[in-house]
Amino acid sequence: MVEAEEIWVEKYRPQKLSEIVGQQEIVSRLQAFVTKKTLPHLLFAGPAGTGKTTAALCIVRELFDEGWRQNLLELNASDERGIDTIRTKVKDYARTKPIRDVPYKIILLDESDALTSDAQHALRRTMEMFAHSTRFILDCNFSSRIIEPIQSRCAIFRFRRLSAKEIEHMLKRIAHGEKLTLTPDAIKAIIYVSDGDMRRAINVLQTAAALEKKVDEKSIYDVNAIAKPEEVRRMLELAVAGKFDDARNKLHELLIDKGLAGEDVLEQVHREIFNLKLPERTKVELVDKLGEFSFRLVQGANERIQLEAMLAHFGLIKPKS
Amino acid sequence: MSELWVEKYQPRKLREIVGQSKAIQDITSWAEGWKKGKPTKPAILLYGAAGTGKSVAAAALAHEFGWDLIEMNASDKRTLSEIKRVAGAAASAGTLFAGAGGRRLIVLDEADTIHGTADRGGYRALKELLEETRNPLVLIANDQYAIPWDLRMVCVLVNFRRLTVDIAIKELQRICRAEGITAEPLALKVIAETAKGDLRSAINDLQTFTLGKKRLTVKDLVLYRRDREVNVFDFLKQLLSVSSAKDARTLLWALDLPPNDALAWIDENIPRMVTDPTDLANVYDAISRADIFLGRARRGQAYGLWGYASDLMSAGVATSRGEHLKWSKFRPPSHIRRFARTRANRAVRDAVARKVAKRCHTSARVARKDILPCLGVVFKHDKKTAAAITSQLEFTDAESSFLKAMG
Ligand SMILES: Nc1ncnc2c1ncn2[C@@H]1O[C@H](COP(=O)(O)OP(=O)(O)OP(=O)(O)O)[C@@H](O)[C@H]1O
Ligand SMILES: [Mg+2]
Repeated sequence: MVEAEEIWVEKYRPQKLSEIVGQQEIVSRLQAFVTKKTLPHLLFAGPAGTGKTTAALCIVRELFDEGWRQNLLELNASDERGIDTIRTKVKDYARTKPIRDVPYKIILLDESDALTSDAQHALRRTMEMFAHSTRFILDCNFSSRIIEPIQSRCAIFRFRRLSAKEIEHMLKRIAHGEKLTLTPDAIKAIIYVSDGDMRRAINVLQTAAALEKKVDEKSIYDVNAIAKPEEVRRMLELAVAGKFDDARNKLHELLIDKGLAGEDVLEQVHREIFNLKLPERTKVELVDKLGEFSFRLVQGANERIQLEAMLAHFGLIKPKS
Repeated sequence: MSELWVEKYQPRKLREIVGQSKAIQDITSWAEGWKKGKPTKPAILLYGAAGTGKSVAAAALAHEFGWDLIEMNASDKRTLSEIKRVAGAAASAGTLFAGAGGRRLIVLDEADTIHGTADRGGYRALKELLEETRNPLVLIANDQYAIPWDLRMVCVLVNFRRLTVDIAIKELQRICRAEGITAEPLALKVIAETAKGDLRSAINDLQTFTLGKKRLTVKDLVLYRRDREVNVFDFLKQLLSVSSAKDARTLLWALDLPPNDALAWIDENIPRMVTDPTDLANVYDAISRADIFLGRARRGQAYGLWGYASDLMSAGVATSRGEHLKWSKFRPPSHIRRFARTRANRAVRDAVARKVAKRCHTSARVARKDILPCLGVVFKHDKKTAAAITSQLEFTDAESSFLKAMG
């Protein structure tokens, strides 16, 4: 009856805590909550795509079995979440009895650091007064944006960016499930572009696999409009070596032939700087310059000209002798 | 088994509330006063940090004096009409159940967050309520100065302090005994210290860390410090020792602070420890460039620029701070400390300015800038005129000493 799930981030979203990749200490403590059927209010903090919402959904599913949907209220960033929503929708839900044979319902507030401080205050007593029937799970990027009284009411868990190994593990799981051929180079490329964000990694893989079942490095970079890190590095090395013309040719290749956006090239340059053999101070000076060019792009300047100017600055550096 | 310990071990009586003896004493004598009729200060304001016993004290008070409790908090709409509707009737009538002699306790929790637009008129309603009331009223707040001064003036002010580590440990021990848990003393100390005087979070942490166990050891808590703390101190320490730009920038990634807060911490602490003037200038270049990018990001909603700001404040500072460091203690950004310290003073100043403004038919801002300095001189040198003005404008003691100190 259920429609086949076509979006991989959903299709491969872990259904049980034990399926979550990485975040081991957190997962094992959450598992203790589930086995004991005891749940405090929870605050999950950490960067995007590191498993916060997944962990929350796993908890609900494991605690409530089939009854999980009726006992969960999910409020996403897209919903209106000012003080009125907290005072009406959230409070009304919190005060009703749980359905079926479960001890309490769960309210999941995604991106709760986007709640205004007034809305957060409106949540405090609700968390206490209806704790016998409702538990809260709050997701956020920075816990420091959550007011102290709410932190006081929660057990806090900090999620970390996923390591290369962990991302690789997940990619292989999907490749197996989808019968893909995934070359080691492709895995490396996905790790590079995803930057510890599992959601991004999976999306990149699905995009590349949409064209062909065999996914290699080239398809990753092509489909995602990203330059190979070597190409970017090569371009920078040419510039540093004083070969401005060659460096500029490389740039045009990226911008015009490959059709990459100036912003994206800049972002990649930004990352590559730290891998160049340059004095540490120089790297920072370059980052500062880059930021300047990036700002000009934001303001609507011509990306080709700005990036060429950036390359000229690389030519001023004396390579480490 | 699904019960939260903060509820299970919640004090039901005033004397069960730990570490707040002065506060409890003040609350009790104020409440005793109500037995004899309406006191000059019909309301009491309980203020202090989260998890120190304020809400619990209000509930225990009602229970002990046999008063019905009516609570309004930030989850309720608190407009003028709403407050009057809920508390208004209660404020003047006796209770149905306790007979004519009985009273109702009206508790306005989270009184410092009465919302500007959604709760329009909330504070005005409260003031009127205080004048009319025949029932005791409790206001609760984290920040006493967020409550309008004229409302605060008619309240007995009671401070709930952050609990000391020793008291928190005792309370944790009590719970451990009741739950049959053996805990290493050091483990309880770690939890108590991390809570920073917030007993609720200490109890919550104790419960989550002992879940399914009968023993708690320090080992169970290895990741905890890192988990709970923002650990900005560790970050700063490492920023003063890393040498590669790449390492410095990854340090910042692990820190759970938005970039503008991180910059404030860096700005407060790192320059103090740099001795060489050239290094110092370079460090400040990095900080100031970071600041510029943050400003641009904010103004243009271009959060892609955050990355550059982050690198400059981390890698930029690390690569320019030099090797000649003079170590001293890390501390929170001074504008935060100062703000807290001068807050009381500013509240008094604003109260004075408002009274003067009303009298002189001008705005509080003009009163503050143009009239207060003049009054300051008068209060310092001319006692007689000062006394006359004081009685005319009904300055409190705090207010007239503020003026005197100003001159
Ligand atoms: N002084 C105290 N003595 C005993 N228990 C306390 C004390 N302070 C806090 N607790 C514990 O913490 C829980 C929360 O306390 P309470 O609701 O009074 O906090 P609060 O001061 O109102 O905090 P907030 O500002 O966050 O509302 C209580 O149920 C109790 O378990
Ligand atoms: Mg409270």
